[in-house]
Amino acid sequence: MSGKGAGKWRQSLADLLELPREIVLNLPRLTVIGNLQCYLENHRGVIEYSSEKVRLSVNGGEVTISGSDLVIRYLGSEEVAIDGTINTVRYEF
Amino acid sequence: MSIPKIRYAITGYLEISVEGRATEKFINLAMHQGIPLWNIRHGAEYAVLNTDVDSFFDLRHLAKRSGCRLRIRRKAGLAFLVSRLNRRRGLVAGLLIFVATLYTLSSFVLFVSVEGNERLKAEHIRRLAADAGARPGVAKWRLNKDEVAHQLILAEPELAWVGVQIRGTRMVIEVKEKIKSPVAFEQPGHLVAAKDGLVDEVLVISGVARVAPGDTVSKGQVLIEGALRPQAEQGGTTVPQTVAVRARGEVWARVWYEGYGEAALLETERVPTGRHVAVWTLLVDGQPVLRVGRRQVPYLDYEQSAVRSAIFKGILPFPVELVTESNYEIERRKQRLTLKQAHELAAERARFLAEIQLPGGVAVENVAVTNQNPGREGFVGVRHVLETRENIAEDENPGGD
Repeated sequence: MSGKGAGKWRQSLADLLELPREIVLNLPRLTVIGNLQCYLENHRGVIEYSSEKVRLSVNGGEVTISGSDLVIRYLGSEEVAIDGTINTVRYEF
Repeated sequence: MSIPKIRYAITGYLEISVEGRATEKFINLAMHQGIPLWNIRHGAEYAVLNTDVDSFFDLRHLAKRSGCRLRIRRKAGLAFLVSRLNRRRGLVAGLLIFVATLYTLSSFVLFVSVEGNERLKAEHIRRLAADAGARPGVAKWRLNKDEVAHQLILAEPELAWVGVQIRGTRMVIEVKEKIKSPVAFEQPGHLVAAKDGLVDEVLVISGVARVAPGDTVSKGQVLIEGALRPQAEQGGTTVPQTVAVRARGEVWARVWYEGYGEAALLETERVPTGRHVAVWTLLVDGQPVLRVGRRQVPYLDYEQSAVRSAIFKGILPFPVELVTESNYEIERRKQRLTLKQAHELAAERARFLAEIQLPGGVAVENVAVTNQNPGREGFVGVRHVLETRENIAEDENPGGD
């Protein structure tokens, strides 16, 4: 990201052309199903993982998923799926 | 979802444990290389994850680079199962032979049984079926059920319908014999009274009436005579002969059914206590072979019920029966009734006795309930009379029409 000004310009362009924002801005997309499943696309790696907390690195910061019985159901180079009982989803940008 | 779990279940996957300081680094490296990992969980000391067999080699290198130790916890997948079975070829071969034998043997008809025959002998039908090609040992696929049924009907004129069913290795031939319609012979005969009654209406179709409305008739009395007396021709001299015919018609009369019931003021009731003993007898071909149970029934008063069950029917050539005799203990209880209760009980018994005499489908016209002196001390008597209107004419000698 090259600063807040350029970010805003890109955002306006994305809205105008109705392109999905996460592709234009290279942001992560998170899909949470109830408190059972969480699916994060466009991540950059796993920082820490345990059965209570999973920390993922994304473009611009971190995403922390806390809960209990957490299992990384699938780990790919672009997306990650986490199963378990999810309590908190925290963004740290 | 881009992990084809089903594919890995077939080609094989491993569950491995990763121990070390930087397990996350190891996982990130594997992820960037494109190695499929799933079900990743981290416990107290080590992490556990699933991966496919081909990637294990690469994972070994990565583990060395990140300073982690790998250990295989479990091997799963169809590919491993197949290799295990390969070492036990005898087991697999035996299983296949067993299945093949079972299938082959069940493709033949082994038993033939006949159902629904009343007049015809089962043996006779079996022989006819064998002539048509349906005998034990014949292959099921070479048998045409409809053809066999068709042959049977043609061969035996007494049969009205034949159904052939194959259940497993048993062939069931269901037959229905022809019902002979009774020959309506025109033998001359009279119509007589089936019961006592008071004649209400006489309808003559053929014959001459011998009774009129208002007459009291008794059972067996001739109601309509089976004779025709043609009228004499006018001016004729000869008296025409009477022709004997079969009497036909209806005679409607009032019939009374009476039931008499008694009840004592001191009733004895037979109540089952619930205790029972059972005696089992095994009968082979009609002969008792084995008897299990007490010889004497230990109760003073008891009621017996026997249940017969035929076992091994169709398998053994002789009949084997198991008879279970259950003896239920009965206790006689004396009960004191009030006059009203006794009266009700007697009325109920009288009603029951009257109603069982009623033929089916007859409407009751009138009911009369009267008290009657039972003629002995301590008893109450009730008479229940039902009045009906019925056709009491019946043929003198039944068997025709």
